[in-house]
Amino acid sequence: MDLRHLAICLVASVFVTAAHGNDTKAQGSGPNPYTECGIGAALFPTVGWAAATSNATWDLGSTAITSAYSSPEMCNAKKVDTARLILETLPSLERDIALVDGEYLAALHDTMGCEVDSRAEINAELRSMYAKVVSDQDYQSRSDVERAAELYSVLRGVLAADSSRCGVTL
Amino acid sequence: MTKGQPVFGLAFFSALLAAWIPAYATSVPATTGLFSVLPAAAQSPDFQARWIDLNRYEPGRRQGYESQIVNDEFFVSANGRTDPHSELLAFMSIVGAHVESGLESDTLCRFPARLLLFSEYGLLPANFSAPECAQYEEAYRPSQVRSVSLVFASGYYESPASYFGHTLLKFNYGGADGGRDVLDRSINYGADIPGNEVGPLYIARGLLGGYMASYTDNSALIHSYLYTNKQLRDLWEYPLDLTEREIRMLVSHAWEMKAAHFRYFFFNDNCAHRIAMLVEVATGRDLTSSHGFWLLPVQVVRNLDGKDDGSLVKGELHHPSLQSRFNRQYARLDRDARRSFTEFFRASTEERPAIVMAAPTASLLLMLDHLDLSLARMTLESEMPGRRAELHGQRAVILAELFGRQPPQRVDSSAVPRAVSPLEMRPPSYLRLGHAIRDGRHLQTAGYRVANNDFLDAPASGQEISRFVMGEIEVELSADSLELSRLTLVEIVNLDSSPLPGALAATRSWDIAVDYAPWHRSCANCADFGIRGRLGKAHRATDGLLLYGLAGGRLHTRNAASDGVATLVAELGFVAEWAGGGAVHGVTQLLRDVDSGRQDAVLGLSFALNRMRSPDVRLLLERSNRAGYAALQLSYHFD
Repeated sequence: MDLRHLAICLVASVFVTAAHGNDTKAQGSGPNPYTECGIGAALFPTVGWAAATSNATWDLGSTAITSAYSSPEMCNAKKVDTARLILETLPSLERDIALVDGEYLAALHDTMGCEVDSRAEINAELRSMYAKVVSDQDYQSRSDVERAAELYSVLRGVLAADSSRCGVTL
Repeated sequence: MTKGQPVFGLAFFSALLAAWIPAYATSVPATTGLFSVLPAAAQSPDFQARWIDLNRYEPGRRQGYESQIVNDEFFVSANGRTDPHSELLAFMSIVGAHVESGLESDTLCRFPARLLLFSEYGLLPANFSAPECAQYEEAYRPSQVRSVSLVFASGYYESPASYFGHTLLKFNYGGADGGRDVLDRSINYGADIPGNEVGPLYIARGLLGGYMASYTDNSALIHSYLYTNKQLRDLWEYPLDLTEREIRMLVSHAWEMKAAHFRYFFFNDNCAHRIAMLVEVATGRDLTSSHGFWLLPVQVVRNLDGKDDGSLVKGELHHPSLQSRFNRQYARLDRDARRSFTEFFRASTEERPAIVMAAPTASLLLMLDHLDLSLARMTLESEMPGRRAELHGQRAVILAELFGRQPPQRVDSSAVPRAVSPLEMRPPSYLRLGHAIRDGRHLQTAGYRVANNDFLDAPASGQEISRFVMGEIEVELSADSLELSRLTLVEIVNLDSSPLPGALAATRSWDIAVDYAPWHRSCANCADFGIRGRLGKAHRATDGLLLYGLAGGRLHTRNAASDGVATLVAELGFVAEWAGGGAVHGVTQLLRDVDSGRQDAVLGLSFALNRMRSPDVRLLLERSNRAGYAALQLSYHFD
């Protein structure tokens, strides 16, 4: 095992603790892609001055997620797409959830294949549950990936309440 | 300057140009007869030309052909990279094997564009059944692509590789007119740059083909977010007027090229070139023409709109950056909302919760945007973990308040005012003729600039007024001499303004220049080669008035007027624009030679009397403590 793999495993194990500290498996049906699907590698983006270009800063962790289809039944494409969208657009998504409106919230529903009629209900539940996350004292000290993982967990809990509303089970 | 120096300067410039010789300067040899042992359809010059284009063959260095694709494993023939005939035969044999035994599906699935080409020329056997290509279908869903857009990302001065902007393609699944849809995919072309590359090596390798490059694809929405919200660049999207057949060819060719690797040349084999080539192969249109050896992204955009073959541009969509949207929304805040905005950022941690409770929602949203802008800039410029945590702390306070309120019935998301479109922007290159009087002496001037803009050109979308000159030469002709007066390799004056008051603005302006230039226009014999660097601030006083100040120094060769090699340079200036197309640049400069103590003070005014797209008229007036200078210049801008 080389150092990079070792580092990824260490970070993943940290996330298991950080992102799942309050996680009960009853919330959803599968793993959180930020941990079990390998997005821990996202913590190692190379953002040197040369890398901060349109060519090199391709994403934060999408490549890591995409390359982590090692167990497709656990980390399926929709789940991974949802995780990518949350990670990459988190600041705008948080804002949209607070306003219950916006391009990125709509994109999240589209990605998960949620019924149009169910979206308002999902938005209200998501807003209510995520309000507790942003009010948490620990929120500001979390990393971007940890915040994304937290939102993913909340979303999973919301969908688990009625899995018929969206085409994907997180 | 002595009489010998102009010759040296021109030779230096020529040598520099020679070092950047284009990869495609030689003409392509006739292809007729290449495939003489093949079926008649494969012998047609038209088919052969398309086979050559599809596989990026070009004349070899010594003889025959060589593909610009550098990885041998891309080809199905062992010598396919240098032998189009052999590659075609090998591919036909794979098609035959598939027909006979159903084998080779994986290989055929790598080349959907080749199969499409074969199909168009009747080269597929009657009993050929297309292989099932799950990866291709899943990744690109080719039959569901409704339209294709070319996207132009505005230039970005924080990264040298992105000064000229960037282009990418977008496959639109939602509609024929582009727009942002979560299902859309973007196709990008870029150099594969190691994360730890050091500056000088990065520049050298970027210019001289030291990097490999390839195509990649991503979610277009996420990719777009990267540009608008993380790099703070405006995007312009151009849905292309393509036939269904052209869309199919473009999509399949993009898939094919994902396996190809190329050498990256910053000036002429770059994102603009390779993205345009995907469209060229699909349409047969020339989109990569340029009067020089270079190709800028904005030239490709304008070539799309070329008038000779009709425009490929079906529409234009502007996706403003977070910075552009913030500037617009901040300008619309009323006085109370602005007060709570500034109070929040000036308050202590303990005071902030009370401020956000009293703040209107519009103000809270602007606070969030401001923090997200700060976080984006921090990611781009420097990592400061403590500061990052502090910004997230402020975000948390605002978010908690927003989540605690009832969602607003309506969020004011009024559009950003229409910015100058890349299609309307002044072309980057010019030829300039002028008549000048320096200290009573009459001169004729002639100049040429490769790119890109100066203070009197309308700034690109999402950008502040700036000077960005890459490759400029100017000569002065008098009754008894022809002298090089200016030779600029690169000059960037990046003025970064903010609508926010005082310390909240947190912007920095800077400039850098590598050139042969006079101290100022009104002095004779005071030009030298040098490198200049300055730092400063800029402030937009009104929509039409920008103020700035810069101070720094220049290290240079000795010139006829001074023995010194270091000069301190300070500058205060303004740029005023007025409706109808005019601008004036006023400047006060103070220059001091560190060694000799020579000191010059300069007052200058430059007027752009007309801001039409290609013609340009300038009036320059300058007065220093040594002499005066006046010039009238006529320019013609072109791509």
